[in-house]
Amino acid sequence: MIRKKSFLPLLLLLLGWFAATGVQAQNDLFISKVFDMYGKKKGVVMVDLSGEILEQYRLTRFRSITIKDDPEAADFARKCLERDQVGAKKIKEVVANGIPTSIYLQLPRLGQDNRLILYNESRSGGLRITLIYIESNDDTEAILKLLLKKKQ
Amino acid sequence: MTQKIKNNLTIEQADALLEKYYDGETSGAEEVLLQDFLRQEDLPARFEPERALFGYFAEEKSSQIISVIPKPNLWLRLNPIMKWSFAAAVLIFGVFILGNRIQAQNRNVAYIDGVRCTNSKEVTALALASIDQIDLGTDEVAGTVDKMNDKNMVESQLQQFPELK
Repeated sequence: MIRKKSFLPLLLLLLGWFAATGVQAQNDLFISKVFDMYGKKKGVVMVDLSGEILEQYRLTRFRSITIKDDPEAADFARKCLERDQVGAKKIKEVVANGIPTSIYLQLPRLGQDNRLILYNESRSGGLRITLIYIESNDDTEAILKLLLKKKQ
Repeated sequence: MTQKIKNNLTIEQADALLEKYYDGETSGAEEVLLQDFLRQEDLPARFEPERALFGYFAEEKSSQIISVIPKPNLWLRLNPIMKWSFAAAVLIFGVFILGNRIQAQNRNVAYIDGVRCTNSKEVTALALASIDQIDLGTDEVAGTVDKMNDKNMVESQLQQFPELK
């Protein structure tokens, strides 16, 4: 029989574990600040998906943000990406006029999750940045193939 | 007559100690000696009042000891209000964490100009649209990349410098 005395720390430990495992994997990244700061602003579209809806795509988390005509946000996003590049594998980078306009980053695995950051900056028809964060149990190649397939 | 009783306290010594006790001058050790002395069965009847007095104290002391031995834990010693408040706080915290986890496991939300949208079709469409925007083939960067891959690019650029021909 569990005594009351030993039950309380057990309960607190259990709650602590729930809280710790509930912490989102992307919270350790600087780009999460872009989502937090600009996600609910005007001229911005932010998407956050996880769970059942992503099962068919074999993804566990999908976050994207598209920001229009906000050079300050673009600067901030680029700075965050620079910080997140530390320890990450750069799959692709396109630089135009000294400014990175397209970056694909493969982040170190976190548990079972493979994590990717995709960034694109376009100036045709006004400045528009798109930042995507993806978590999946699949490897990077499979994720990118899937994304390409979805676009066709 | 000097009647020597157990624990080496004589009746005369006991009388002297009792006198001291009533004057409030006995030490703790002396009171213990008196207690031991008065606990004996074969004492003269004149010691009955003291026996009753010390007997009462002894009983009270032992009951105090008994009440201390099974020390209740912190949880039981807490004020009932505190106890219930603590239980409620733990419960609320648990529900909050659990709710967060369930919500985290099944997110399906978009914000368009700050307006929340949970229509799964619309949210999925927006997600796919954001993937489209990453496509290098649809923006000026892609155009630049295409140009860079163009085999004729070097030639066409060299045409700008006719003196090199």
